Amino acid sequence: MRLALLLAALALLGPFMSKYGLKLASEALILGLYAMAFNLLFRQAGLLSFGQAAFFGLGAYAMALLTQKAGWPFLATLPASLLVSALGALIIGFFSIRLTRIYFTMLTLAFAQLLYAIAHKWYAFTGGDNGITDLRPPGLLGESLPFYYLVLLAFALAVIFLAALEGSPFGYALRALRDNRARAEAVGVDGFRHLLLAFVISGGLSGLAGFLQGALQRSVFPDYLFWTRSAEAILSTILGGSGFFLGPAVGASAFLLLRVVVQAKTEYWPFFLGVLLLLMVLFFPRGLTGLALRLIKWPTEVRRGASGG
Amino acid sequence: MRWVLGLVLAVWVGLWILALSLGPVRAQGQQPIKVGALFILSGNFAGYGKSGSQGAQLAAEEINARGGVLGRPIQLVVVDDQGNPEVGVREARRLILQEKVDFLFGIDSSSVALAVAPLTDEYKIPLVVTHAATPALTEQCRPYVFRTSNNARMDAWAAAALAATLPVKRWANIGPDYEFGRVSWQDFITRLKQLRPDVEVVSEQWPRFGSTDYASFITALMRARPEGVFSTLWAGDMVIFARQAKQFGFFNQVKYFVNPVGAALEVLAPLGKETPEGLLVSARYWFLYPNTERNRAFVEAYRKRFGEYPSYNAQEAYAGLHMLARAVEKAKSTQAEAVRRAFEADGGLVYDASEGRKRMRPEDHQVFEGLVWGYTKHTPDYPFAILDRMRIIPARDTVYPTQCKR
Amino acid sequence: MDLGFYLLQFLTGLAYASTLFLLSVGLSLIFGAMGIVNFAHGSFYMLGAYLFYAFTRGQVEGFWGGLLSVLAAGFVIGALVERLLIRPIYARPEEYQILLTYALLLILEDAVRFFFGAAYRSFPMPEAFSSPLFVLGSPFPSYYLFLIGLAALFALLLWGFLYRTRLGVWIRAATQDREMLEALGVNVPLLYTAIFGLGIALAALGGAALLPLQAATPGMAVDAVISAFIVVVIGGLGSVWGALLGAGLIGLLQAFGILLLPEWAMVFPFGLMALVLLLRPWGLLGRPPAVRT
Repeated sequence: MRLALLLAALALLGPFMSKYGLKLASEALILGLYAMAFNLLFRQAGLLSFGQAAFFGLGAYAMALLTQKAGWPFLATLPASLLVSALGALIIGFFSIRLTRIYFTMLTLAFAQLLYAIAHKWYAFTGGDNGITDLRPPGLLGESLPFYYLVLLAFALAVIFLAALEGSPFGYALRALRDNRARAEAVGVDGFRHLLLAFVISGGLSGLAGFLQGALQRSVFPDYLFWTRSAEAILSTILGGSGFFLGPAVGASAFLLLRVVVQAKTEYWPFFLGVLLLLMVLFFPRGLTGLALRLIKWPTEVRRGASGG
Repeated sequence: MRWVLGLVLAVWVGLWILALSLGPVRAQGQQPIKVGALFILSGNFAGYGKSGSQGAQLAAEEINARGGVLGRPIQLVVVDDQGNPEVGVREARRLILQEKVDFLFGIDSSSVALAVAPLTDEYKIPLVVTHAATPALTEQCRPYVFRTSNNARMDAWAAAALAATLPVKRWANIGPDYEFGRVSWQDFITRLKQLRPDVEVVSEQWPRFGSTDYASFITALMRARPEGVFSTLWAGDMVIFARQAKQFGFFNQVKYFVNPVGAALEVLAPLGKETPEGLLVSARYWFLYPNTERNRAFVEAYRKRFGEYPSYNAQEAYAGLHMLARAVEKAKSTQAEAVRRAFEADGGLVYDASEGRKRMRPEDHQVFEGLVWGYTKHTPDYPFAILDRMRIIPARDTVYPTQCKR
Repeated sequence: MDLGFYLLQFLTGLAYASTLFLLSVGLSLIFGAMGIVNFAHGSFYMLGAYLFYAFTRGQVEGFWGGLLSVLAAGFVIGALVERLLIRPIYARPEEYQILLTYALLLILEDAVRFFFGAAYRSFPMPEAFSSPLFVLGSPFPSYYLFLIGLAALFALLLWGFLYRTRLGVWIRAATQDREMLEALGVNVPLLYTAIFGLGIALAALGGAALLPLQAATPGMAVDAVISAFIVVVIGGLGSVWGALLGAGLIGLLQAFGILLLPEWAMVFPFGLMALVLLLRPWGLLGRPPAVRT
């Protein structure tokens, strides 16, 4: 219900935003989608993937290559992007999920870097570090407002899907695996299959984000596959609070907003981000959302204390 | 609890509205011409971007001192694109939509330039590139993209023109494995074979861009016994390669080491007195050439302002901004179409920069100019190696055919 | 003549391997002993290079003193970082440790840029290494021999330390069962501080020792940490011998691979890494992780 209100508010806000605002808002929603895909693995399944950029990039490149080289219409490449990134997740997940914790993280990182190296090297196919440019969606979707609505629609559908997933038996199974894998498997939950499916879903949604980002930025580069892109999903999630459903999305917009504001004023954005992340990790592990909740609850807690509770 | 979450969301939306109302305060009075410059100001290539932004700054100050352009002052807005195409696009959009710049300027990285170029069509804002060197940029034939510095193909052709005069038949290459390194070598060797069909390639080495150890490549290269080696290693790669190769006696064995981007001060200064002598290098601008009043004045002014000698990127940005000002004055407007016509008219805009005459080719908006090469040599006058026995390759030797039409 | 060349090429492979080992051994040590993946490893490596330049002011006479100073400074900095920043979050899931080190990477990058600027810094070749060694007629820089020797020395010292001293036994015990070790009366927090300090000191020393043959550049940290990751992923996280093996394989693969396939030099480390990941995901000398619930 709250979600529907939020989405409606975002939709209504559209026509009132400036062109620049629409671009920022679109980017925030895309980053939010990407972060929520990451959080599916992190919060529900307890897996820290440092290789989400692989699927983000696969989705973006699928769109770019099909529109540029094969002349496909823009929207037709959407299912292809989803398919390619989900397939990539299937393959990478198959090898990675065998391992746990740090090894899983390192492996996902390694695979993403491998894809990056391939995209960089395979000049003839991917354009190498020159990338693929001029990816403006034709017609109405090339304009800021209609594209914003497309992004909002994709975000909405993804979020609704994730919410449904969370409440479904699948979601419960994932959380059971996260909390105590041996016990969950003892009651018949196939750990590998469930985690792999979660990985594939997460990969597909990351690919969707990549698809949209490529269209928004009008170009796709090997940088889409670089590990710092994976870090963006993680940072947004931590910033917003991984424990809350919409936390990653909140974190994504905060992250983007901060970056835009800070970069306009100083060239030391990495330092700023590093300090922020440090503070988050040390003092506010529940993220901005957690912080906001704590602040809001604080007066009521004090009151309770004073009355001797 | 419900209202708590609602409050959080409301705050979130509020932050957005705040963001969207961010913007520069409109100054009253004489509207400045805003130029949004994108340079690499962080990371490994920050030195180059710093030079560029300084050169642009000096030019802007000079232009404003003489009354501005069309009576309006130039306002330079410099941002760090980090050499990252996505940051570049985001910042370029911000410059166009928020800062409302009239022109985009600069850009060191070729991939950033390629990413930003489509925006010139979308928003009808001209882009004047002063560093990014991929020939692909101007071969896209965009109406509002202009390059006032020479590109990698011109460098390669100049190198080939020079190489053709050398008593060398056996050539080898060691270059960074990315588009710049690859295309430069291709352009060089193809052109050289046109000029001297008798040359042969004995070895090609492709270390990763950003490698820190070249030992294996150096020995493999030396084994092939090349007489001449072409290289487009630049920045930190060139500094490291030069030091390691010297230790292997590479420059004693190889008679001619040809590097079109080796005379950058960002490379020669850290190498200092350790620079091997006799390297045949160029850098799009060398501060000691030409020995004209105008160039000396520029070098002096730059030194006074920034406390260092101007590297090529500084001069290219300086000249580029002046050339843009010239075009705007000729067009009597900052409108993209008018500026384009000004650049293209009369066989292409001509500007006499400190380094020499720049002429813009109307078809592809690429400037052509003479390029200075020289052999590295140590002198007591400077803490770094300077160019000796300079050879000037005239512009006509670097003019390659273009697919663009006007 | 051919034998001479192959020997030379082998030596260059060893040289490259040594630079990689000196870069990555600290990363492997810290992970092996503390389970922390230190994303800021490259940043401390970079800091070591810049500090070396700063301590010696680029004067070649300060070479040995500079190396020792950097080693000491690295240890102190590492110990402080562990004590102030990492210790508070041991109780948290290990994901947060990774994020903390990533934050350090960001902070250090800008800190170095702020204090040292954008220009590249080099260090002149010390007098002792200025004349090359001749390998069957071809010159081979003697500084590379120094590096090879240094790498071998480090590997031996670390092995001796971990397997032949009391402290080393405690460190290895800490990786298996920390609580038991504390129950036995060992001051584990202090131990951890010391290990982290040592790992960082090694990283910093690596950066400093490589400066005469390389350059300190503002962006070297990210590049370095990726190279280090590739080495330890191949060799096995947590194994010092693994780091040596990984470095050796990459070095030799490059040295001889480019004789056959010069076009593909860039791909060799990634290709090797991919192969290892498919066949032995925990690294060649790593231990398959115990399944923990």
